[in-house]
Amino acid sequence: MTTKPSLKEPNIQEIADLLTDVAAELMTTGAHTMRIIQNISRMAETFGYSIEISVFQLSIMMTISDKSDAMNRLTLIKKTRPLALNYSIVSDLSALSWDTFDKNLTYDEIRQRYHDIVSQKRLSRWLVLVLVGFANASFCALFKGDWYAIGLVFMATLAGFFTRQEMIKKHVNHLIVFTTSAFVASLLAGLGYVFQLGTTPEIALASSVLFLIPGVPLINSILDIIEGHILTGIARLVNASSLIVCIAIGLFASMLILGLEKL
Amino acid sequence: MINTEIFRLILVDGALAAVAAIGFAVISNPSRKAIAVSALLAAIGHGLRFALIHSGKLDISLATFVAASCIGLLSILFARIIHCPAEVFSFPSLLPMIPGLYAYRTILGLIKFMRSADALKSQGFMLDFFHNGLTTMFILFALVVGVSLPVLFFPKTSFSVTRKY
Repeated sequence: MTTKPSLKEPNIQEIADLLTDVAAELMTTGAHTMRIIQNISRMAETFGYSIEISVFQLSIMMTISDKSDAMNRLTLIKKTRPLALNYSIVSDLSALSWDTFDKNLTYDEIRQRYHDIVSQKRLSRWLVLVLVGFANASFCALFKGDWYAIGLVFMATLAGFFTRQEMIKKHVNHLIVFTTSAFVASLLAGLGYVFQLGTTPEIALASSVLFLIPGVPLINSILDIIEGHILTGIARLVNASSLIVCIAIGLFASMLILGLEKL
Repeated sequence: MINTEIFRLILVDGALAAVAAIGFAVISNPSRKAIAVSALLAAIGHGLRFALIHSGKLDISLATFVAASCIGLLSILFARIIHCPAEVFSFPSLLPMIPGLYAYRTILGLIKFMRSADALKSQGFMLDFFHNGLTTMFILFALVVGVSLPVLFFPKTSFSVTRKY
């Protein structure tokens, strides 16, 4: 191992804390299991340690051991925060792990950069709201909805996504968040049925809830399963499926209110 | 004459998919470059799927599989160019292909079946339920497996794209 310019070599506890922090952050922001393991192993390698790691939905378990001194080892369990997708963090942390490996960054430099990465600002929530509205409206257009349907979906998505943002801010259970947002969005989109707007009210109703589809957990779960992390993959799959069931329940509720005879 | 008309339709299809991808990309807060790439990939993928279905050779789930693998491959290429993990833009560019209408009809069929007393009508609802439900499942499966396959074929590349040296 090359000698580092830092005055004090970081001890095993500091390294272990740093690595579990990075791993937990990656899990929270939506990286798949293989990427987490690769990034963390790479960083441990740089400091002359080897690690064994298990990644679960709610916690990360890691044993770190000194390559030159087998007695110097430590096992940590770190709780992860609930999923809050943020791909800037995922790609910056991946880049950080390569930089650590290639440039032999010191412990303090890595801590500093880790701190900078996790405290960077997200996109404005209002910009996201409007863009999601347009996205879902163009979804409706892809399904060949007419202009009435597209307009309805745009309004419904704004309302539904706003509901979701507000409820997430108040830390409501995420299953309830998804059910309520789906209900709000589909009820508004269903007004096309009530007032007989346009010729494709069915398409408006169907595409109004699509902004809620948990695409990232779904694809992460399949990636995990094909890469052999079956347990984590199944956990993610169950999580994504329960969200989809919640969307269906919300949609079902507004369909009942609108009256099924018309649908 | 017919050719230009099809091209126009494919272009419109791609443009709509790009708008949809941008909106779904920003939910997961990627970098600016990644948003642009996901719009491009979504346009290519959805346009390709539209063309394949239109040609009449492939059904929707196979066409989805081809389009998703294409997105997967291109996303690894772009990942190398802009130094950003491939998942960042391959996920949002898949989203416009999510079978929302089939999923909706599945639920509708199920509800109608549960509430129907007439045996003959119920058979029709059950048929709707299975037809739409299976189509939804196969398309979803084609999407995720199609986009993950390239990662399996090029594992080294997929995990070293954020390396800058």
